[in-house]
Amino acid sequence: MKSYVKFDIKMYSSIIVIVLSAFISNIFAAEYCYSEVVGACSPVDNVMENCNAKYGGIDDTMKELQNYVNLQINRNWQFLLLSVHFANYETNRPGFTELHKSYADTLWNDAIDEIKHITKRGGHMDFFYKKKNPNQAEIDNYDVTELASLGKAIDLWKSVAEEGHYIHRESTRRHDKLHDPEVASHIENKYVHKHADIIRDLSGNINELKVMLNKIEDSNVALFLFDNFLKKMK
Amino acid sequence: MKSKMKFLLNSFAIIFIIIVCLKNTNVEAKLQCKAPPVEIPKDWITMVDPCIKKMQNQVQQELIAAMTYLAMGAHFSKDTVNRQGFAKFFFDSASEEREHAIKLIHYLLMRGELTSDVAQLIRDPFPLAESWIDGLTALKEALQLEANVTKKLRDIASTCENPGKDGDNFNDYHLVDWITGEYLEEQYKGQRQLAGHITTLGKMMHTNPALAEYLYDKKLLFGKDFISDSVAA
Repeated sequence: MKSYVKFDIKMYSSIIVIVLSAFISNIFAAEYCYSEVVGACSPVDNVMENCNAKYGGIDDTMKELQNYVNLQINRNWQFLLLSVHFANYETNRPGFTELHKSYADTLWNDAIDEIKHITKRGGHMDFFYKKKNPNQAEIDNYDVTELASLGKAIDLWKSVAEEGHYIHRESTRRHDKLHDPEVASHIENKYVHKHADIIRDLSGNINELKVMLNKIEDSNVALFLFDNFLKKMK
Repeated sequence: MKSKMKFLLNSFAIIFIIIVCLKNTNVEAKLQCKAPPVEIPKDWITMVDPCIKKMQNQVQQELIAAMTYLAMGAHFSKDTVNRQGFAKFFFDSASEEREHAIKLIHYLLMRGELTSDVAQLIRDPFPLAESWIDGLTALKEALQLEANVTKKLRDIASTCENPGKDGDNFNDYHLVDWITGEYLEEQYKGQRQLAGHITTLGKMMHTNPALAEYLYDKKLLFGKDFISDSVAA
């Protein structure tokens, strides 16, 4: 009787040890790609969950980057429509048309590059994710004057720049899940300086045109000249 | 005492409102932002409603195709998929489709259209899907997408040639010629290119699909000389 009990205890304890060791080895193995690759090469197939380009704070920043791409795409359509408005025969401002078209093209190309950046960091692009931001600048009417279009343009660009700042702020936080120097550096090198230049140019144009529109009798000629120089500068 | 205070507060409020109003009218009076409208003869604007609507709708169709190609580019760019050749091909196609939409817009502008309600032209286009089983499936879906776009272009040509009573039976010779001669030719060339890719890749996929897709991806990435280039390297 005694020997049976002894045998049972021995058997149960060895089972527990085996299960525990399997569990522990699984926990540690799951964190590394190497063990998964080795596992995949053995007869038993293994799922490779760690063999990807994800590291640092990218998991928690990914949604923000996806939202950023969708914002860039959305702004690209808005600038394209602004350029269409100035290309019709009644408005006929080739300078303004080209200016807004160049902004649309910049944003479209930036969106493609940003998708490449997301996938470089092991992510995927979700085209349907858009963060709700009621304070963000939007356009409901494209039938605007030349000066108003510049005002709209600066608001739209600032919203793009501010969103970039937000991602930069999140990725530079001293937080295990968010800190990601590559994302911060990418935002700085790719966007921050370019956005500053665009916003400065727009602000200069707005203030210059505003002064010229002060004199009612000259304003239409001023708009014609301004449009022509805008085209020449592009 | 209370009534005096009330009187004072009311007068302050009235003075404040007057100042704000004066300030606003000053700004409006200062700037002449809008040029006065010019009388322009309308005889040269000849496009008719059924035809215009089809053309405007086509812009959105081209942009949906652009977004679908963009999603294909994004899918094949993923590190876990890693088909850089397919990604490049689809990213380029996305920009090309966007340019097609812009080309249609330019045509409408040339004919005196799009003077109002331009917001209706682009209605936040989304991709039709976000992931694909493999490169061959994506190429097949791309061909179906192009065939659908071509069908709609043929519909434009047909409507603009014979718009019916709503369009005063106005046969738009130039638009039909432009759609068939310039636009459709580009479509047919694009479709042929896709069909060629599907055939070549499809044949290779019979024996070793993974190796076939790997090789074809490199071909799409490096172009026609990819084998001689890699041997020379």
